[in-house]
Amino acid sequence: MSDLPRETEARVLAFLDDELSPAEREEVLKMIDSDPSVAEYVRLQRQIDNSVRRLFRPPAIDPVFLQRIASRYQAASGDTVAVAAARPARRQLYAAMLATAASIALAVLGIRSVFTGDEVTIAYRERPLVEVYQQCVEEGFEPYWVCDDPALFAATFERRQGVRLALTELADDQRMLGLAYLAGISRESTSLLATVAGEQTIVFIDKIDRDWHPSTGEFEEAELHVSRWERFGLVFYQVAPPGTPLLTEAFDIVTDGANPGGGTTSVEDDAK
Amino acid sequence: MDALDEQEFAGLVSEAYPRLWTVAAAVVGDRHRAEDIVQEAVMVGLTRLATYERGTNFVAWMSQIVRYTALNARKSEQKRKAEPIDGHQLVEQDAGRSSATASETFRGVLGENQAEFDDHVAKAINALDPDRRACLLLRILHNHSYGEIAQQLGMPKGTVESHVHRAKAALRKALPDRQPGGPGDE
Repeated sequence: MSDLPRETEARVLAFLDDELSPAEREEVLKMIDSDPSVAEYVRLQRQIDNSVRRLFRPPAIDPVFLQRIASRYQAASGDTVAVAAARPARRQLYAAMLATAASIALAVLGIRSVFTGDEVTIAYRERPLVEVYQQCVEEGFEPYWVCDDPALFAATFERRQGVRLALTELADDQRMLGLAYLAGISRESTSLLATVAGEQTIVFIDKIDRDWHPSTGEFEEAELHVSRWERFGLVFYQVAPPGTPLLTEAFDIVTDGANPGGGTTSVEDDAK
Repeated sequence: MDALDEQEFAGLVSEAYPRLWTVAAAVVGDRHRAEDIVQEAVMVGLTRLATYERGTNFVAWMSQIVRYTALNARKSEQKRKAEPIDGHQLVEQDAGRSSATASETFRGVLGENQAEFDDHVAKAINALDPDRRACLLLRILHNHSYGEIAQQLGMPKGTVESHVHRAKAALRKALPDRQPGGPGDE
């Protein structure tokens, strides 16, 4: 498609942005009617704009995140933020007001989220976890996010898996590299990249009801082993070379009475 | 002047969230990372609340923090990977990553031609410079004026206008020559 003359293009773009006076608008409409190249330009630009809107529709804000702001605010207000000291009764009032605001936001955004955010669902494809692991290794075994802040770490899992996870103190030969979104169990799975006893290890974490039970056990050709366990209402799949110690005790939850607790179920690693 | 209280801050963040997300997504090049970035940036904003003047443009103030946080994240990521961001990353990064294109992504909802069109647009957008991309997305998604975008991103208005026009031209140029009867408007 050839470009329009600069002046014409500027007027057409202003027309599309609704920036023209009625008289100017009328002139451009006449151009569209009489000049096929202008009509084509307008049509294509509208298509592009619609495509951009489909591709980059912002998600709804997570109501849990709003609650996180409240607790962080209270933690920060004693240090660096100039806020009048709140008496305990007022803190409770603020918390109640924020909870109300969050509920209202949830009600509004809950409706809005039908038409926004992930309305266009990414086509998740089930594939063996060893394949996901191998692709990650081929691409450099790099996390998307080195999350050093325990609060953000917990908030990420809360947003994606509904449970605030924390890392326990790791053994000397265990090193957490960071988080990645490799899918694995579902589109929303969170992956944790680590080295354990010198071996590259991925732990895929997701809600139990999203588990489609990928194969576990020994994968001789890939020289990998897949193990599965459940804890805190979540499912964990660890993929690593055979003999790599499991990270079953590497996770804990930030409890506030709302999160499920519970021990680890028995590890499955031979249900191939 | 008193700093914002938590209810006010949360309310402003909630209202600004779509625009903040757009800035983060434009800079960092990843939908999911954009949510993380905005959350990180909001936490940073909490520690800097004393620098926000009540009644001034909260979106602009918060957008600067989001942009800075996203740029840092992008730099760290590029440093680790030592390669530019993949052209598809902004649309689809996780499920099946490199094997999924925007056309596969949207095929279940849209027609085949439209999915392919979206794929071309996605690639072209990902090839843009982050600032240019941010200007374009704020213009199209949120219908901001050039002045509003300029204020939000801390750029001269003329620069914003130039970015948007050049971004649109780049997208048009990146599309294959259309055949008669190609994808229609939504």
